Amino acid sequence: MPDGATREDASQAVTALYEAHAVGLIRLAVITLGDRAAAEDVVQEAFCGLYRRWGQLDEPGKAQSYVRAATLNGCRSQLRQRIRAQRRGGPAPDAADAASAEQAALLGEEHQLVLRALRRLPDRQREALVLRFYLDQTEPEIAATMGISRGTVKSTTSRGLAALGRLIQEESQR
Amino acid sequence: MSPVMSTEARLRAATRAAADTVAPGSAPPLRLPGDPAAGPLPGGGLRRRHWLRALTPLAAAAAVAAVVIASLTLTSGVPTSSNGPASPARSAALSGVPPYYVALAGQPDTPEHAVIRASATGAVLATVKPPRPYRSFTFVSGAADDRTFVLAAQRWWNVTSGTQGEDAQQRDNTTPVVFFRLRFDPRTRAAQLTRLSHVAGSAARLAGIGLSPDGTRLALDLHQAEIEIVSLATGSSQRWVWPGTARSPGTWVGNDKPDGQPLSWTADGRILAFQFWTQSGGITQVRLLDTTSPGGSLRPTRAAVSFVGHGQVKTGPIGNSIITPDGTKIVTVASRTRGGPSGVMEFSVRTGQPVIPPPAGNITSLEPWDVLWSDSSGRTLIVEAQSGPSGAPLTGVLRGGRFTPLPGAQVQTNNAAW
Repeated sequence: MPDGATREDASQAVTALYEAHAVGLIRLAVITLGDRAAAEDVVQEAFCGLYRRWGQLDEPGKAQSYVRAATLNGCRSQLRQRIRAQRRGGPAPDAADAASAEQAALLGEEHQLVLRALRRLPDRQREALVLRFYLDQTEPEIAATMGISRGTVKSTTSRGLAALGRLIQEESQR
Repeated sequence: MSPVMSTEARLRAATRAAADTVAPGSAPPLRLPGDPAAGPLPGGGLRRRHWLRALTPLAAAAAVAAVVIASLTLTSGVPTSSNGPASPARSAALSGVPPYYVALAGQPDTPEHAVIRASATGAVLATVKPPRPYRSFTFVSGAADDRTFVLAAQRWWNVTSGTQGEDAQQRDNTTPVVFFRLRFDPRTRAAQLTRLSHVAGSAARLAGIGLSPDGTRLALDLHQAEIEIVSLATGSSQRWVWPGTARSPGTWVGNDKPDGQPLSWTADGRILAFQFWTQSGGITQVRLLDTTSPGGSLRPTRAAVSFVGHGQVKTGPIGNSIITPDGTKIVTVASRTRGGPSGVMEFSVRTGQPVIPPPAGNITSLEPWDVLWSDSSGRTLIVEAQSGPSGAPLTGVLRGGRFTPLPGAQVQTNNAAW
């Protein structure tokens, strides 16, 4: 954690960054998790992580990329925890089950169905699709965000879209 | 919903609608750690850094070529009740794979440790943490004796664009990489970690490792463009490079990092299989390197199997791929048609053509992702897959068209070695 003057600088910089980007990142997390409260927690933790590591950031200009990737990572952890809970027989096996009633009420059945299917995709496929079709990132941008090659982005997106189509069909028949 | 809407259009519409439920200006105030007015942090505050305490006694050990006994957590090794009763088929499947394996574990944003598990029961037999100042194991590979493994370790990760939040091996691309030999004694359940001083620390981007079956040589995938093979006894090495590909975004050598192992050996320790991909033509090949040949170019290596994309599809994109130890087959996950469902496929090394697949058995509801291990001839495999009905990732044994989950395997155990 930063100390002294560095701490003050870090606090100001991270707070300014939060004010500029928090809503966008919460939206990204809500898409992935379907739960507003969990989404806010993930984003808070992403910015806290940035604050703690502010002194290690080699280029402050890359802070936005850092929190975006940290948010995706936090969402991934949340979804894995749900899967682990499911395997232990615990509650909230499905992201949609964990979504708040308010959240669900705001979305039509068609959108809920697509988002449930999205949350069932493997991590990399889900993240590639969200970056590509929600954030409209280019293949090189997705490659940089996810730390994978452009070729992998292409194949992951292609496979993810095909899998999503199948899962949407499954969801619609439930 | 319009029946003509594409999956892409439906996804765009759904994500936009979900995003719109978060109104501008509705983010709660930021609560930074150390601010007494902030109240508790999400999830009960900062995560406890267990590894900081665990690593403390080991601070001085890693700087020299010393043998260290890593901090171990020994458990009883008794099967958990969740493993369920052992059916004959299940027992046969689990007895066909090596009895122990090492998996890297840990939360995605915290340093990884290595866990030694019993394949048949899932019991954690030992947990090994990297000695200080190293904080994260990033790759693991095993020899054929089922008790010798090599682990790559790195100090920390560099916070750069896009790397934070990725798996550990994705992050730290600049600090030196060091290697440790892990020997596991199943009789005493002792795990001994030895620094491999002959393998020079490298600032290059390590994209994967592969330990030879006899445990004497280590293959390194560097920059996803080069293969280096190092003798662990002497430190002598040979290097092969694909001409013109170093750090080029249009090509790579190795697998889809970090899925599975990027390199695999035949049992005689002579042939090393690796993937080569080039954007030009969208071709992925599994090529074979004769490691007795002098170092130099990878171009003369033989392409055992070629997968062609972009319109001339024979099979779809592939994930991880390995050569069977008897050198007769390449085993991989592929689809027969572009965009079609994927499955485990085996190809003849001699002809490059698919071998007739095994009967479907109980695997039709599974979507395999990666092949992680093969027995000598490819009859018994360990694969990572996603189950159809629940979507949960599974790691298990595929044998005779039947999939048997490995008890206790962690979700996405793709950084594991048998």
